[in-house]
Amino acid sequence: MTISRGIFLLAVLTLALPYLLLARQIGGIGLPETDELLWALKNSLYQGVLSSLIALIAAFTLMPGLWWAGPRLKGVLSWALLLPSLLPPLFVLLSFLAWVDPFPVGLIGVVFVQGFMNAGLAAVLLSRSIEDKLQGLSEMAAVMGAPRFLFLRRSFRLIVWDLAAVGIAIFAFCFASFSIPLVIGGGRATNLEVLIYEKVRISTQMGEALGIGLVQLAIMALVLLIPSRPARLEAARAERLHLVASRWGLGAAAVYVMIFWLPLLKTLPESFRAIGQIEGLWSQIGELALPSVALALGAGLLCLLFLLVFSIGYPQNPIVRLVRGWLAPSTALLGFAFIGWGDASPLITYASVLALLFFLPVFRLGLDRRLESLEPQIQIARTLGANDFLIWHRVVRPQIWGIACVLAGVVSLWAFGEFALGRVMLSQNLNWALLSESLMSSYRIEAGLGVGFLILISGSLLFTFFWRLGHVGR
Amino acid sequence: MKHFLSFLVVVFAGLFLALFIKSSRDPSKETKPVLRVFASSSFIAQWGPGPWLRTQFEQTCDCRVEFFDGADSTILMQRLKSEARVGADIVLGFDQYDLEMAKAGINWKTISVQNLEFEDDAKPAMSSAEFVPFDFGVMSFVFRKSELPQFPKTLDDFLKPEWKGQIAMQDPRTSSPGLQFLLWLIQVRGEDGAWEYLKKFNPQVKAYSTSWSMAYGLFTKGQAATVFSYTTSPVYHKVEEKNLDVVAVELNEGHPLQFEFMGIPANCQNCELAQKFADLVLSKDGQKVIMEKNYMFPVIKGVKDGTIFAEIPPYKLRPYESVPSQAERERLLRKWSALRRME
Repeated sequence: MTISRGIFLLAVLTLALPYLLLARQIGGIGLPETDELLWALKNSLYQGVLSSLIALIAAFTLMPGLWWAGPRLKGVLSWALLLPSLLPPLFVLLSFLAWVDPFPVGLIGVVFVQGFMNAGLAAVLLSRSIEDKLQGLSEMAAVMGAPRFLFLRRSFRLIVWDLAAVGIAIFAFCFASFSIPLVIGGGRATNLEVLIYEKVRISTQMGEALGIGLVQLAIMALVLLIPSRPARLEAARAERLHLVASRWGLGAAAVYVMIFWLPLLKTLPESFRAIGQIEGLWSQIGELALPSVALALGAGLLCLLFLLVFSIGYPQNPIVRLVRGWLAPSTALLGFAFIGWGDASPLITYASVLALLFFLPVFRLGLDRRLESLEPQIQIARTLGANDFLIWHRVVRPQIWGIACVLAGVVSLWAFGEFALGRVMLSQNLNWALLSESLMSSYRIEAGLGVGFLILISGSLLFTFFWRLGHVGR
Repeated sequence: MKHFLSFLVVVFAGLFLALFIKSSRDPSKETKPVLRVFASSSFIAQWGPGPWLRTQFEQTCDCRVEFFDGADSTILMQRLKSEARVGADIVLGFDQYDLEMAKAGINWKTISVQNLEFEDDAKPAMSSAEFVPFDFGVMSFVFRKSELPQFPKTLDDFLKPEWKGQIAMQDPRTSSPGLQFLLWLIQVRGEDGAWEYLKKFNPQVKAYSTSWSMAYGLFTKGQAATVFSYTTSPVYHKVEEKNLDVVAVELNEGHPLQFEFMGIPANCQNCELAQKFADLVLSKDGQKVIMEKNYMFPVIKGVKDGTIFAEIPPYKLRPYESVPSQAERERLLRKWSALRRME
């Protein structure tokens, strides 16, 4: 076994650690009643399929705006479109509760919110793939005077694989989603992930919870085994796709961004006033500032480390399919697997478990296809006699450093707002997210939102730090 | 290699920072005894009663009080049983449905409550010497009276068409108030009657939220016209928001009671200090702070006299009956889940 394979195996074993720990603690694996399991599975599938469909359809209204925008505006717009999928779901929920009254709690509400959250992400991912594929064709069609509809119809088959890849990525997010079905499922949209949480909470049926977790893992592995064509890594093109660019698309993107931001900005003064009304809260916020930043920074850095280690031995063989299909373990299960571990050194332990929780989603989001696209270069380097480390150092690392840093930034943003895991694992309010949750669970909802805004601002700053890190020395 | 070096510098700076924060809180450096108190996050929060109790206790005990967030009872029990944990000296925050689970997993010491005069409503909850109630709430539906021309008088009133999709409830599988409601229904109507009622009631429910706070959030954000909560909830809005519009309704069926208990584990390290802390919790000053910060009724007589809590009219209460066993509750919850799936 080569060193790189050994490192990769070690990384995979790390991912299996929560399951191994749980298996040791529980002593047996079970399954709930068939009716209950099938009901939750049906809800998971509905949520995954319908949310990804909505996201893809909405993405087609947003993409023409991205193509119409100039390079500088495009960067800002991409960030604004990505934000709903990067921020803690609480913020998206609040926006929807402000706009949609009465809100359709249940399956419809879950699908609606998840579709909206991921529409921006789908638009950004798809627009890049389509630019790569259709740039030349679009220019030629424009010169030859082809109508827009005809161009779209004829070129559709060229982007089917990209559409499927993005659709599957969003399906994976929504299929295993936890917060949204928990909060707005209203007991009617219990999916597998929420069922795990219920099993853990009702009577500590950990065996059944683990069994459901493994069923979920197996289904996701099957879905992600669907073959895909490797992405081509091409130089970024700054030109517009003239034939399909549209200022109406820009308008749609603006509406999308406003739907998200307006209600949040409206509640901002009230939220900060509420913080001021609670004696000592500002000082507690001050005390928790450093641990909050340290935790999010630590989770981001550890995730960056995981991503780099993973890329060292990333194999082009069937094992890679296993890793792609490997789901991040359920939040509730992960929390119980590591319960009590956070007492000796809570910051380090919690940051590590957060990195473990978020590593796989971001890996699939950005690094998986990038690594796959490097395969021809790796083969050539290997043919020329380069060893694994040299290939990683000279070929792989320079080309993944930027995206790995951005993904680590996403993890730090998620880590800033994560409280469900901390509530199970930790016995202290260690950061702002836990403080915000405590406020909300004792009538003080507005103050909790105020703390949420601090999370939003600080998380964005930390994301920017990682993004800049990705540019250093590239 | 430049970015790699930057990366390493940042990693080590972050780890150093984390270790620095950790070592500054290292309890092994303590010379005074440390009383380990496990309680809910709202109890130990800055705005909860915990900080006041800690300050008062540390003035006389020559010790240090350390709070641990017990989250909810399931997590708390896991923590208490976990081998990796340092033990708790006193635990606050069990409700009546958690006691069986708590007794099954851990041994508990008797808490002395001599010379204390308990409220009559709290006396039925004093059946166990190991677990003593320290506050309680009366469950009811909470409304904005400006939106309601006529208050409901019975549970059947909630089945009227105008309530469709207007009631914020808690999921009985994950929330104590939600379980209270289900067992209340069974107490009032018998099991068959309760399921029949629920079949008609479920379409009226906006959402069965996983926690009280989520359900209450739906109410305060105007997404639901009413929420199942406490008769003391309107006091919060009066005191903190000067909002007199929120009221709790009285129903003819009588209202269920929810108690919060404390207990001292038999393996406590500082058992005497734990008993003294329990004494402080049950003292008139301690009870007053808990009442004002938790917005719950005190269990000790005379504490609420002259306060806004004394202005809450007495509600007709259901008798505090024996709590169904855990196995029985699981059976009921499975049936409740099946009913939800059929919708």
